[in-house]
Amino acid sequence: MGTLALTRAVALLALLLMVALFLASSAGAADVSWRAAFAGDATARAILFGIRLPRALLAALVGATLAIAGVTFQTLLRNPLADPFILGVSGGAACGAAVSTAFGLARVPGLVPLVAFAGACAATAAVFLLARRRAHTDPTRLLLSGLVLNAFFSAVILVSFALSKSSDLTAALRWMMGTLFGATWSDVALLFALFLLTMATLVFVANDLRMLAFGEDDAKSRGVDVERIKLVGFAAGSIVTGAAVAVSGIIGFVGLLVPHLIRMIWRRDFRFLLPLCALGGATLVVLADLVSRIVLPSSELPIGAFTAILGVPFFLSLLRRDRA
Amino acid sequence: MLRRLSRTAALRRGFCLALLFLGCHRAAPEPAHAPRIVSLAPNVTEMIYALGAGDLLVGTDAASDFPEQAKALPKVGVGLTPNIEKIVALKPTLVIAIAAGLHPNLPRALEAQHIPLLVVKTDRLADVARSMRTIRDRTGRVQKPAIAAMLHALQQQRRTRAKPSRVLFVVWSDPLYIAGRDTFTNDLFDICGVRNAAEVSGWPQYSLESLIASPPDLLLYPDHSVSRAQVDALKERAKLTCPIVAVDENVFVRPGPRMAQAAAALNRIVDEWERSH
Repeated sequence: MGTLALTRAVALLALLLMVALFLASSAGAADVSWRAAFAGDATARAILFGIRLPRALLAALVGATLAIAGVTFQTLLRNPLADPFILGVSGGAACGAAVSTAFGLARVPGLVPLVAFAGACAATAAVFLLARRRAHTDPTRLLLSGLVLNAFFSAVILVSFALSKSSDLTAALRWMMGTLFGATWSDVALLFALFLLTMATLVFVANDLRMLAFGEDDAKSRGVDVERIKLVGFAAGSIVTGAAVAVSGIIGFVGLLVPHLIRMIWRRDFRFLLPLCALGGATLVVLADLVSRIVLPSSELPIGAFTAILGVPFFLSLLRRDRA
Repeated sequence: MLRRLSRTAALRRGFCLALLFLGCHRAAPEPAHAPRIVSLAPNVTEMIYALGAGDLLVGTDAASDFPEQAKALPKVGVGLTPNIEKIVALKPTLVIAIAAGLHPNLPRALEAQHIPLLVVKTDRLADVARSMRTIRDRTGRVQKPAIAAMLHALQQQRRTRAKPSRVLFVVWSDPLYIAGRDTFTNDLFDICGVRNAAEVSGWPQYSLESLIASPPDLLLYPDHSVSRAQVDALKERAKLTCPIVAVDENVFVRPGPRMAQAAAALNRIVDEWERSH
């Protein structure tokens, strides 16, 4: 794929994302317009700049983040099923949130996201250490450790739910279903900074990660420090997933779906997939969030359902075309 | 933070405090600009109307349906995750929510819009008067002696029964969830002189075995969340012989100013049961 083809693909997806962002910031429960906001109407400004825009941008960042984490994990483990959820990263975050809720800490502002982030990082470290044997990290063991830890986290979550008060439970459930409810500019700034940092790190190791796709021995023979790359890729993907889960709860399917969609359309290597996945993931989540909040008047549906409802039919049609 | 006081002591303390506060705050001046309030819980809406401040409400959550005037107010969605755009569009100067089930993102989102949020606790019966005082102090309205009247009405319902009946309040029938100790429902039981048939605290899932092993004298269920067919199925499975009574859900499960009404209804049910035994 030449630079020109990449530029065209990026431009196309960027245009789609712009359209999605425009739609998301134009539609909502309150009847306000951009024209009124620019004319100086205080309520319209508060709603558009204070509520819709940060929410749409946060949706874009969460989507971009989950998608690049997904494509990184899939390349790293050479396994098409790998995504932040299967590797236990989001399970760890959810577990942290559920346990802190059970102990009544959810009423302390700002604590649940922090504990969730800590949970994601702890889960990553645990998965990586469990999979490590004689200074070598086996991808299958990594995936297996993630799966087993996920089962453990589910158990802990169920027990803490049984122990928590029904009123706290509702808040915890809402969080676990994934929502961009109440997004603020500070969330956007925080996630944007982490996203940039992760993107920079991944671009820096992109060539080595690309080589890894041909097999570890092959990559080694080409002078790639395989273990270091695994650690860097895994840590970067996990930290940024932890941050995304901390601000939005659990939004499923994005990390798995988007990289596959992009691969089916463009069939290219990691270096090219990375920016395309970021844009594709962002567009998908912005649209899913838009649908989840406008489909019912003044009440919201779980966004995770809509990433699947919007993404799966598209995915299946591509899969069928692929087989033909 | 929760101080383990006996429930009656807490109530009496609440009553005394209420009288004390009423005495001190009667002279509180009305603020220059009366607040524009959005209520995010039906019991908060009821409190605001009971305080005579219903005209300050500019919006409520979808479940606020009492008193009748509340139905006509603009709705801002489900109380736990209200639509923030709609709240902002109503230009409130005060949003009041309850602590139970408060979404962790809500305080930050409102703070970003510079809209003050008042969170009141309504987990126990004594919290109701306390919350009403907090709301009254924020609205600056002292039109009606509503709090004293409510506490008085509750005191009127206080009963001491020679042989307290054992009552179970079913919240959900399958799986079985009940009102345990340390809940406002249990506080109601205390006022009416009956005992909770369950020993557990909070709002737990309750085992059918416990229900069979120590059957209640009376079983109550909320008339909207649980259907007659569901309680009948429960009765069949647990081999219950006790009377099963449906109660007005909106009165019994909203810790608000109508709790005295709930106590009166409970007393009527228990009195009738005692007469027939």
